[in-house]
Amino acid sequence: MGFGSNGAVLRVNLTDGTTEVETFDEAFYRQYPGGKALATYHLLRDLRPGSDPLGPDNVLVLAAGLLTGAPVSTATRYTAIARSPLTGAFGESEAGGYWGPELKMAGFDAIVLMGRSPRPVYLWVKDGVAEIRDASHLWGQDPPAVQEAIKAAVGDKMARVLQIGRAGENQVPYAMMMNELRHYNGRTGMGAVMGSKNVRAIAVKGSHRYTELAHDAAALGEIGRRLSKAVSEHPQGWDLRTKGTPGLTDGLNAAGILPTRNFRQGSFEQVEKIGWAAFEQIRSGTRSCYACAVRCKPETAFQGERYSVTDTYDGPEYEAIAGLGSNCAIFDIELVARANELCNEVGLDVISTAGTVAFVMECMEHGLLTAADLGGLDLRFGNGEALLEVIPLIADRRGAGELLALGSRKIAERLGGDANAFAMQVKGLELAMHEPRGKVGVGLGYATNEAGADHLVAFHDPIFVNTESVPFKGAMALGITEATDVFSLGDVKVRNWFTGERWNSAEKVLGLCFFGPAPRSFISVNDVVAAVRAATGWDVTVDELLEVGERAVNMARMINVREGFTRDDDVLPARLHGPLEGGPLTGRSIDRADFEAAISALYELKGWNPATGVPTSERLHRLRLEWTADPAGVG
Amino acid sequence: MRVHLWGELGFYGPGRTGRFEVTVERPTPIIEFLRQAGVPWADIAVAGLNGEIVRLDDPGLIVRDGDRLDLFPPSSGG
Repeated sequence: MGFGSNGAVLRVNLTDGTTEVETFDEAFYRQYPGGKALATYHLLRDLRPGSDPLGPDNVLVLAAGLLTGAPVSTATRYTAIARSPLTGAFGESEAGGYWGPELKMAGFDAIVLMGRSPRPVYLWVKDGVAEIRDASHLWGQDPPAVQEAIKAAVGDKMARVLQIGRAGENQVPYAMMMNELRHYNGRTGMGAVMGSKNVRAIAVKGSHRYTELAHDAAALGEIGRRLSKAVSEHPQGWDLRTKGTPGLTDGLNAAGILPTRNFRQGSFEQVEKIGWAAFEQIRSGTRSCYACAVRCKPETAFQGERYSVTDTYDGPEYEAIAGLGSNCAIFDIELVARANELCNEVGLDVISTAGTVAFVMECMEHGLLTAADLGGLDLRFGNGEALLEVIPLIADRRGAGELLALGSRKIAERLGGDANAFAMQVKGLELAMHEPRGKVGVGLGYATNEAGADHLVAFHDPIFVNTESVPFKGAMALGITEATDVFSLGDVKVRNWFTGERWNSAEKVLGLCFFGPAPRSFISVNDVVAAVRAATGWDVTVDELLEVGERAVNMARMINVREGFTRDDDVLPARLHGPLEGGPLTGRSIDRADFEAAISALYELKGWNPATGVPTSERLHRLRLEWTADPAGVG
Repeated sequence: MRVHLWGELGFYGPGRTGRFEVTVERPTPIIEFLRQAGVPWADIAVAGLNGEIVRLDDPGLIVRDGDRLDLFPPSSGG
């Protein structure tokens, strides 16, 4: 009987080409069970503050969640963590798919990549043994060819391949990593970090099963079977299974919170051309992650008169539809699908790519940039052909792509003048496609998240609005009892948000997808607790899981403290404190003083110094993280 | 009347289709219509009647045969 983990972490020194295995005991795992917590532990321990994010001293950690690979729907995720080349802050991105579960079955809970290989390599990990192999012949190849070549070379079609694309090879600071071509660690440039280490791919294969690691495999299997049936009997689970994220576009537009024209507007006049009805016309099927009954992954394929798209990659998901569609004022689902495919093919984060393009479009509109500055490219709002042209240029850092590859914050710094007002980013990370002026808690997440403007930091505000709603009832087991509206920044919102952040963070530690647990979806809080108990044999409670989540957030915060980030970095783009220009929420803004007060109240709940945003020694002690305040300390 | 239950609200539609037509015999307060149709008002974030956003808590809000009703859930992202 195990405790849901291998107790083993693979450490790879790419500079001298050596590997070693480090083992940890069960007590360690109860503190740092997996995913975000396990990865950040290693980052705090092994990363020297001030290291160049694209230099050999950066440390890239890939960690499967505690439950990743368990026979439970949505238990598929792993975390990629390093110092981000886009932000200089804590970098983090989770992905589902098949790679995380396979890593667990191959005998490791995490891989720590250090140093820099003198030549392109890939890593082959099978059943507890790791081998660094030459990848010179794979460098510059497209992802499908690389995946096929590696599977052939290792002689196993079922090996799971995590890799970067051209953008990662060229160290574009918002390059992503992909596994099995369809699942992306998109945010904060983890692909660039892998590229900087001269690692093109990591292939894993295991002969074991998660149930061999579990304390009570029978109980875990029973929970998994029950939840597989429950997906379609729950409104949110049913919706994700039926439509996936492309089903979100029309509702967000109707609510006035569909980011449009670089977040100037909240509603898109031709939404039907990128909404659900349009998407249905190009949908070719749906796919799944490992052992997940939700099957939310949209697949598109079509041969249009102007563009053709194959089902090689994932999407477009909602983030791509809004980012490349409404936020760039492009009224064409086929073009959006092709742009999404291009981002995946070259290995770029679709959100930061779209955000940077929308920013440049607005700079063009205001005369801060001209086509001459962009090698003749007329990258204005609505010009879809220019969008298609610029994506490969970004990946190759050629022509206009040389500038756009910097990301919106650095371009704004270079341009000066009013450009900063158009850069919709926090800490350098472009905003995800959720409009905080209509759900202000998302703004709290954008501002305070250690990795920047991500949308999966805490629950979105609509969940808290009505105590009789399905999601609110799902949140009650977390101790949430009071409703509050989507615009409120009062004490109830802050308390609910703090619970939501800890719970979402716990999901990232456990390896559960955001589309599994309540309140977003169909797995009750009590079933999450039951699954952890069955996997580990630990007498965990909801409160302990919330504390696990809080610990992981504080560890990430301590990375930023070391790198010099303070409360001054926990701010929103100024545009969000001004009025929305279109749609049902025209005129709506986030009051700056109210927002500042909410952050102060949040820091108080978190036990952080209100002036600096640094965790107090008392809170670090309560979370058993005193060692993180001591650069020489080890937990 | 044409009804479109967007997103997860489609779960409550006949045959979980999300889109359906229904005969409204007489002008009916929308809350009463929702009760009859089995759509939980607590899970509706936005309502559109004939293309215009309307407030569900407006007691004077009436639906009639021939109308188009769009109901959206609280889309919370992902």
